[in-house]
Amino acid sequence: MTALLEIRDLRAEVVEEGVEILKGVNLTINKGEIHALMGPNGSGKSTLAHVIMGNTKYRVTSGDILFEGQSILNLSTDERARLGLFLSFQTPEEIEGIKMRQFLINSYRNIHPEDQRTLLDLNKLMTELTKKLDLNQDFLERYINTGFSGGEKKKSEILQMGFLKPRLCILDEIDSGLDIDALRIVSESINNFKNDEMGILLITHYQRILNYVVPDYVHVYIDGRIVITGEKELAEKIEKIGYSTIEKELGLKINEE
Amino acid sequence: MTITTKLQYEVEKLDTIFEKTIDMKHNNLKAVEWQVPQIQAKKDYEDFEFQSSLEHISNDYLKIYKGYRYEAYKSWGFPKWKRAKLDGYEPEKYVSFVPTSVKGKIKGINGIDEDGIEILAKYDFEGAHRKFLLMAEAFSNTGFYLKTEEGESSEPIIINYYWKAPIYELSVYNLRPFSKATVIRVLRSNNQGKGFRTTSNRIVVHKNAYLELININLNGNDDINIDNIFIELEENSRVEVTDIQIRGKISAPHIFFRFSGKGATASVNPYFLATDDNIIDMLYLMRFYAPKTTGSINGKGLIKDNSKAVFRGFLDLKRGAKDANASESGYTLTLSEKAKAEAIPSLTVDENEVTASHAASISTIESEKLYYLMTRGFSLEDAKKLIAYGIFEPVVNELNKFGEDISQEVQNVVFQQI
Amino acid sequence: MATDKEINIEDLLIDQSKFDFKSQVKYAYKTIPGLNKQIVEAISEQKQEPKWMRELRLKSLEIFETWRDPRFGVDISDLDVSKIVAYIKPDAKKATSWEEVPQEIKETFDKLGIPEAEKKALAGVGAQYDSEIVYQNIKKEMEKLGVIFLDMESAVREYPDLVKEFFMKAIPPTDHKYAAFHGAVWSGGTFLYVPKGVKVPLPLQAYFRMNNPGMGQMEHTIIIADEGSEVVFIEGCSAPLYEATNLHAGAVEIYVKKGARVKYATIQNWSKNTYNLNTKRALVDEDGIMEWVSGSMGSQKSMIYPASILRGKGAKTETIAVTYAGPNQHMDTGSKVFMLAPYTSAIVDARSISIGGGWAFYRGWLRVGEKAKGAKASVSCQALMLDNFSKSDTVPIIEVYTDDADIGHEARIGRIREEQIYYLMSRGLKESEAKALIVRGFVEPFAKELPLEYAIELNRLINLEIESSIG
Repeated sequence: MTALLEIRDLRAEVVEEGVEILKGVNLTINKGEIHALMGPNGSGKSTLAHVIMGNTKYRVTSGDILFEGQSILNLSTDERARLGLFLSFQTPEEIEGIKMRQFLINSYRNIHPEDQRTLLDLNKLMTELTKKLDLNQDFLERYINTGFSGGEKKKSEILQMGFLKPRLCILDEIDSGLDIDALRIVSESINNFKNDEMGILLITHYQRILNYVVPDYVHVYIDGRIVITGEKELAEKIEKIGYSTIEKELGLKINEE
Repeated sequence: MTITTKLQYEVEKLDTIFEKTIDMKHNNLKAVEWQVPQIQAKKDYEDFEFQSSLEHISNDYLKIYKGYRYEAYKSWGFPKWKRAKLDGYEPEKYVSFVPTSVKGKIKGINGIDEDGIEILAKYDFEGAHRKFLLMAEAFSNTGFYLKTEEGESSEPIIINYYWKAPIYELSVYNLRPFSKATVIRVLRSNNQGKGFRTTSNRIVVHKNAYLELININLNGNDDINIDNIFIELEENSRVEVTDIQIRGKISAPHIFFRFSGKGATASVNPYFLATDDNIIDMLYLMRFYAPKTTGSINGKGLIKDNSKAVFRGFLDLKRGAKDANASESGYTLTLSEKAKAEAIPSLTVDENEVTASHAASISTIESEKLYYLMTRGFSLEDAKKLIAYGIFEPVVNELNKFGEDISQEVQNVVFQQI
Repeated sequence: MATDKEINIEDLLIDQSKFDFKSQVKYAYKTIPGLNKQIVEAISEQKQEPKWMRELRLKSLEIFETWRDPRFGVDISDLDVSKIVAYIKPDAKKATSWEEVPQEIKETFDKLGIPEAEKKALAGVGAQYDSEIVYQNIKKEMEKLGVIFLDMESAVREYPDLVKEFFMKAIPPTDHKYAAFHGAVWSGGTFLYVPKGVKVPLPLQAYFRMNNPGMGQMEHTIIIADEGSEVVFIEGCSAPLYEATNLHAGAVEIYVKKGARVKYATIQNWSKNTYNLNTKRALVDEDGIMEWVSGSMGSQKSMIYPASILRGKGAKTETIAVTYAGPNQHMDTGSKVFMLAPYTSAIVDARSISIGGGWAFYRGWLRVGEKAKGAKASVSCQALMLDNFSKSDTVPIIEVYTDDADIGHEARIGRIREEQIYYLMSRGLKESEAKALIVRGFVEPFAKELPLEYAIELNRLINLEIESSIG
């Protein structure tokens, strides 16, 4: 069976500074799997997400990213999105003048051009999702992420995940800045939206969310590489002993900021 | 007679409040003021044009007033505008009447009453340039007199201008105390040949009255459109202006707010869009004399191709405007490497018990925003268009309340042009 | 609660007494008032200049005579150049040790604290008295590294080619009428060359003193920071108060070569009979950094806009300016930045205080040229009006001619808020102390850019000891 996402010995640098920031990443995600990527702040976890999504701030210097066996390195960000890759942003952009409703419909049509669902159906679906995520009624009439609280922004991202039905979800610190109630709602929604055809890469600093969204694999990411892979227990171990102990065990140097 | 003494004469004659655009002095100190060079037209309008303009006027006071303005007109040359690239001007063939279509309760300028004449006589200003202001007044071939009754609140008035010939407008709005009015002025280019419009609008908003003014200027690439508006705000009056400037060879709105009454409030929200070789040169000026007044200028727009936008927002707080609150922001989005954005925000303050600030920013669309939209499947081009359109979305939305057709028309023009 | 009106203005005014003393000094040579060919030639003769310099003076004179006054800024129509004495040569030889300086002149600089500062914290000092430098010295270690630090006349003689290459190249006589005036009658000033890679560890200073009534001081400063070098230059100026108008029309030209860094700090404290029409400009090459620290405290009328022309990729400039406009002062100050190359960046932080009827006007000009892709600039103007009969204006011009730039400007004008005073008083401060503290905090970003000695000096300058009268 072809993997959903396969990253092979991936190296990348920041275009502007020419500094290498991914230093040989290997990762395979199959359909139906949840992978947690954990690491200290500043280890470059988010960069990996953005390189997968094709952010032009970064340049791949070697290695490959395969989506269902096909390299996506030459695809632009929107083309990747249309293939079914989805990234929820750590800090979602605010864009004035475009309402969430219009944005969601256009996004849906971009990603599912063949879908015959009517505007009415889509609007109904959106409304249901806002209720599920306990978002305000005027949410869909507001401009994209504009003036949203931190929690609302995270919920907005998860709503998009549920609405756009992607095949690979990269969730970049979806848990940061959420209070316990919001974390529960967001986690439940992720579990709810997940299906056997979907793979999830959950990027996080803390183990907390993994109590709700249970990963099949846990990877520890330090200084541009995955240094150790295990199962759920690994995350619990990190919570207890901290990244610096892991680093010592492996004989690595990291800078915890 | 020199130009200044001429002006002096004129002012004395009518006992007028004359508001200069730039008023730079402090106690016994003076600042050097820029003098716009003037160029005499090879063939300027003369008695013949003036007399034909009077053909449609029966009101004697108005005739006399126009006579004064014509005299003053003769002593001025056309301006040489550095930023708007105007090198003098040669008037087009004069037509003494241009058609307009009007919805709502408003008279032609010939129907002006004594109150209206008093407004004409009492208030004077420079306009984008004195010559163009006087031109509109001396050679007016259209114009309106709006007078609301005390406490009256009327249906929105819509004025449609048709660019069949050069338009010279002389209008007066007289909003009696506690009344409310909405005026929507729509100018559409016929996109054939060189359209020219210059206007003179004096608006007095009396005690506790409210005016909503919406200017929709849908200019063509060869049109010159100079819109001069003077607004006097009396006690507790309120004015909201939306000024939409789309394209134009030279589009030069000049809107002056004179806060003379305590507690008066005004806002102006310009939206501009320049394409091709367009130049939009805007000036919005708020001068505060009275205490507890509030004014804000919030401009937004985008420029592309070889176009240029000059955004001038002047806040001038005079001594005595205690507890005035003045703010200005200007935002220009540049979509092409050849487009030129200029901002001249100006804050002049003689009174220290005020809150006054301005901010201007000029930038292109942030790449992070484009990237975000691309992660949602938008192509780069679509993402750019969407964000650019976002600038105008609030005003298109706002126009909806006056009927979908106007809102749709503006939306279509914007979509076509971005 | 007391209001602003109850501030004793006197207490917030700059204390000029320290600077307002007159000295009796003999003069070796002095031109008659006014400006004409004979006077210009006489100055050139006195200085025994090479032909090119004399020609430059005469060409400048021609421009001055035919050009009109600037069409902006302060009203200088009452400035009568025919009454200004363009050149006064003190009876003193150029000295390299203070002992050699004539007693009266040395006393002047002692009172201003210059020799003392030199000992403590400077790598070199130049001191100008009226039209000529009377003292110029640099530490031996600096000289060994190849740093050239000379008065301009000596530089013209000793390094003719180097001076000719840079003299009035950043500010040509055609720049404006008073640049031409300067070109015709300039005298004195400093020439500084810092060789490649040399980092001058301590600041160099030039101090300008006008001692005579009705005179003009027109010093010319050139700084060339060669590739990768670094230097801090401090300029101070003062004069005693006279009835007659004095004119200061100096020029500062700075050449920041690739990767070099120059900081130019000015504390201008001319007496209130001085017209200060100074021109300062830096040309900044690739990755160079130009910092302007500009304090305009004195003078009757000022027009001064330190300019940075960023012509090399990645060049940067930073301007921190404080302007003080007291009674009868009209201060038209600001900043000019031209961004002409990719990835250039600029920060401007301009602050002004107006008091006692003074007029502080900020005039800014920021141009981002077609080639300045990726340029970033932010300009911030803040004005504090300490009473209700002063004036404070902000008029920037921003021109952006590229699509890939991020440009922002913001300005705020206000007074000291009663809540702030109340808060500080609730912490035990007297009202006067509270106000002084707030004003000091307002100029802090400027003060902290100055070497310690000068920051202390600034605090003394703006006499913020508001101990008396409010209570």
